[in-house]
Amino acid sequence: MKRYLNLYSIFFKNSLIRMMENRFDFLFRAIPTTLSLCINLLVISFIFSKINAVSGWNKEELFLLLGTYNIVWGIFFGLFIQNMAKINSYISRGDLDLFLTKPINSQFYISIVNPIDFGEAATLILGLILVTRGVSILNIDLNLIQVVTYVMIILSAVTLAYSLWFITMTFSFWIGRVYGLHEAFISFFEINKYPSDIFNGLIKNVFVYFLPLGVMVTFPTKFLLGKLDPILMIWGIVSGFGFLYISHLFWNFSLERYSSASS
Amino acid sequence: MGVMRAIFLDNLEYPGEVFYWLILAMIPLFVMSYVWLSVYRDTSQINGFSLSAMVTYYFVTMIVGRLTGHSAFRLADMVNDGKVSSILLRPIGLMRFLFFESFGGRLINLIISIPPIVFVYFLIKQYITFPQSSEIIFQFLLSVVGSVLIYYSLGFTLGLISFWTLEIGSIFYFYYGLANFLGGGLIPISFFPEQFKQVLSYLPFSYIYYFPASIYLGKMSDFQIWTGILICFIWVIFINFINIKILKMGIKKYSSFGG
Repeated sequence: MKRYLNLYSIFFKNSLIRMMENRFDFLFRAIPTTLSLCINLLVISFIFSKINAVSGWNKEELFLLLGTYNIVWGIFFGLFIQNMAKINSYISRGDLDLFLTKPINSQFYISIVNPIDFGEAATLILGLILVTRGVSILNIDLNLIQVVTYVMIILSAVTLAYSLWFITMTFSFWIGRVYGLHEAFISFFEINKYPSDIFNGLIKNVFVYFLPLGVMVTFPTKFLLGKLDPILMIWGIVSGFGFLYISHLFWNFSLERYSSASS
Repeated sequence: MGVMRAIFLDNLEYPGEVFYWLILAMIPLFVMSYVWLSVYRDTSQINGFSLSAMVTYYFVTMIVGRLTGHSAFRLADMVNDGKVSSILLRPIGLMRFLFFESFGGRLINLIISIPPIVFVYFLIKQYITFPQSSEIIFQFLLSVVGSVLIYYSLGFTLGLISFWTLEIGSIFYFYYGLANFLGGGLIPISFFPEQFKQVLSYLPFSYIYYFPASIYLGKMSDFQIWTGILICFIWVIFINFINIKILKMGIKKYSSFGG
């Protein structure tokens, strides 16, 4: 474990150094991020100029949801986009041996080898601003334990996002070269811009338990609003680890097929 | 037409990828349908839209979105690779070539997309309405032509920037978001505040999604439709006029580099 933390801190430092080399990139990236956030805020405002609630959520609550969405997005996207975008071509071009021969876990290595995209920090910061603003406007009183719990649910959501994304990428073993396979998960993640309460019945259960997209943003937001069922809160915290393990199974299973096919 | 045929065949080789992109294109339709379904539980009319009009709106914009395309990245590649030089002598020819290439690609894309679109149609059939008269269908098709031309021409303007900078990726990220929002792809423009709407009716964006979908839904008078189509085609001519000017400037810069 310690070895992995050490390794990660080295990778992290390298990414930082690279980022400092072109600092303007950050400013350049902040512009489209801010624009798309503004568009989302405007869309919600315009809808709410004609209605009062969406599935029991009012306008300010949806802004809070959007803030959480940006926090989760900023972290998982920034950490992993450069890696996920390349996995498909590593596999289809047969470059995977580079990862399999290293004396560390290949899933870990392939997920962090490329630099972190610090441009996404802009998304994270905008999300934090939006959540802070929401908490004060909605008069939410938070104690330290609640803040820690919120952070934990967010971290679990990031783990969940990573795991589902990684599982999508393991499909590369089976379907071969697909340009932009990593985009698939990103498109699905956008479902989170709206609360999972808009779904009902079977689809809602699918999005909470089997393909837990509905957990990643709606759960932490509901927790802040004091509306999250305690049992679901536990699910929100443990689902990340559960799916991390499942992604590990997917990876190993696909790898077995890969190695037996090449020999 | 020869160009279109070549692209036709080229696209046929990867129907799998077209399916894959189509699934992604369906996600907004899926999410927005659920958002509106939940909103309409308490009311039957919002801003003059019934639930079925709303779902049909997203269905129609999704189909129009299958047809709109641009060749900005293609142009950027040509500029970077130096391939553009062979066509430099006849810029209008280049523009026509790229348009038919792009449009051919979009057309085949739409044709491959028909089975999944029909499948989605059967899922949400109870909400989908059809135009009342053949006149509306004609006006709708005309507006779709306008939409394709506007989207393409604006994209081409941005693609021309590649003569000056290599980095057009983030500019395009900007453009997709803005065109989708101002074009009515996210929510119908009738939800926008009054002044905002006024300004937008004179800009080219609303002719991309909102205008065709509104015609389809029968939400516009004949007068509004024909003035709209007129404004739309004036924009197409104007943007392309500007594009030719910029292209010539770009070529001048390009050749001074080489020579």
